[in-house]
Amino acid sequence: MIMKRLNYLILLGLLIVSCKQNPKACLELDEKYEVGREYTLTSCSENYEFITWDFGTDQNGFIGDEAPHTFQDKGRKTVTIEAYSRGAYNSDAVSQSIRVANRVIDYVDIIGESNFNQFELSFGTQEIPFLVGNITFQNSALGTFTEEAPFVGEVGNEIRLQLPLDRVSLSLNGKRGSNTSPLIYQEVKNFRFNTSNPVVYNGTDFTLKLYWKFD
Amino acid sequence: MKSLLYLLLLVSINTVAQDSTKVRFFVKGGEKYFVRIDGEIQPQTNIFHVSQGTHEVEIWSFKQRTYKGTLETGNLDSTNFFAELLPSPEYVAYVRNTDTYKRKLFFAKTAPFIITGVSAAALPFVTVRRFNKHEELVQNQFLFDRQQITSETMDNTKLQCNVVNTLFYVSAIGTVVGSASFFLLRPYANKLMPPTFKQQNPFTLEYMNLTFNQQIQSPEFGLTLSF
Repeated sequence: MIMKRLNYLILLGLLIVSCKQNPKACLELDEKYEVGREYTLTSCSENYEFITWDFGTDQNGFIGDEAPHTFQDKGRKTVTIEAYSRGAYNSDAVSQSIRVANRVIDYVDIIGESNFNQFELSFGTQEIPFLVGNITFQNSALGTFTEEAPFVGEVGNEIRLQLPLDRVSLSLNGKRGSNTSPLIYQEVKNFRFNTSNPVVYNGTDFTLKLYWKFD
Repeated sequence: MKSLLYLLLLVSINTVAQDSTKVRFFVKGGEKYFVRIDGEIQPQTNIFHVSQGTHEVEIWSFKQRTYKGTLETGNLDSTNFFAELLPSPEYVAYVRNTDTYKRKLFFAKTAPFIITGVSAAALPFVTVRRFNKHEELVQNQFLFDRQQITSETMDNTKLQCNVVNTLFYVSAIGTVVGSASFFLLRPYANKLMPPTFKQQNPFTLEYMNLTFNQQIQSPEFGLTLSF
């Protein structure tokens, strides 16, 4: 009788053990991440007890479901996670290659009515050079913008004007002859919290759209 | 006349008292003892009145040999009688057999039961602890590989893990070995018969016996009356 009960108990134990599933590691990260920005990386792993995170850098690893991390260097990184079962006797690992880069200004659209034939756009103290057609303007762009014909100024690839993660003042001055009028006067923008693309600024009678790209 | 009668009565009592001796028995060994003087069984007391002279004394107590001695009262009004009872050889053998029986019973039944019980009770707790410690070991190894914890912390975790592993294996082996021993040795344990000690009171001819009750793990006393 006792042996029979013991057999049932062993069978029950085996059933419980066999019902336990192995951990399945899963990672669906974005392709690109910005240098210096704080991210919380998440995984889509299943049936795990805990996850170890290796960010493919010399920096610290992390143990947890979600990993807060800031990439400090540009380049390709391989993020590896390993999902462990209860007791950490089984595990499953998966890696994903990502690109860590800076955000740089790609081009600028200014749409609206203006009677200026020249304007200059600056970030803090740095003026933005534009490539309009084949002509590069170092300090200011020549041109006008209207509702029908917006100004599109490309920022040359060689410039690589990086969007700062801290606050920066944005200025747009319209010029006609020797007269300079501020359209945007030292408007403080914080790009840490502004990840939309383009970054839009609505001024009086015009809209400025700042397109950025990872580089 | 009345006074004379009292005087005669007093003198006669004194004369009777002078013919008998009050004897106080001091018996060492044995609990309740029976006394027979000159073949006559005495009441259950330790003070007897005997006639002055020589008497054959026999004392018996359960588990003891019958003591046989001689009481010389002389002309004393009262005296003491000292006797020491010695355990009977059968009782000594019974005690020895009981020890052997208890030892065999312990190894065949009690020890496997205790080992199984303690190991099986400890096993779930040790298993959970082993899981936790192994998780801690894997996590700390991960952090140690990235210089996030010191080697002392790592060594300490390894040591704790080894201790818990040892406890786990001891509990697992204890459960298996204990339960296997319990079931394998059960027929042998069931065959073990507790020793019995039976002795007849030579004065009353009743039988008294002693056996070992394994349920309560103590001797059990029995009495058989013969008419």
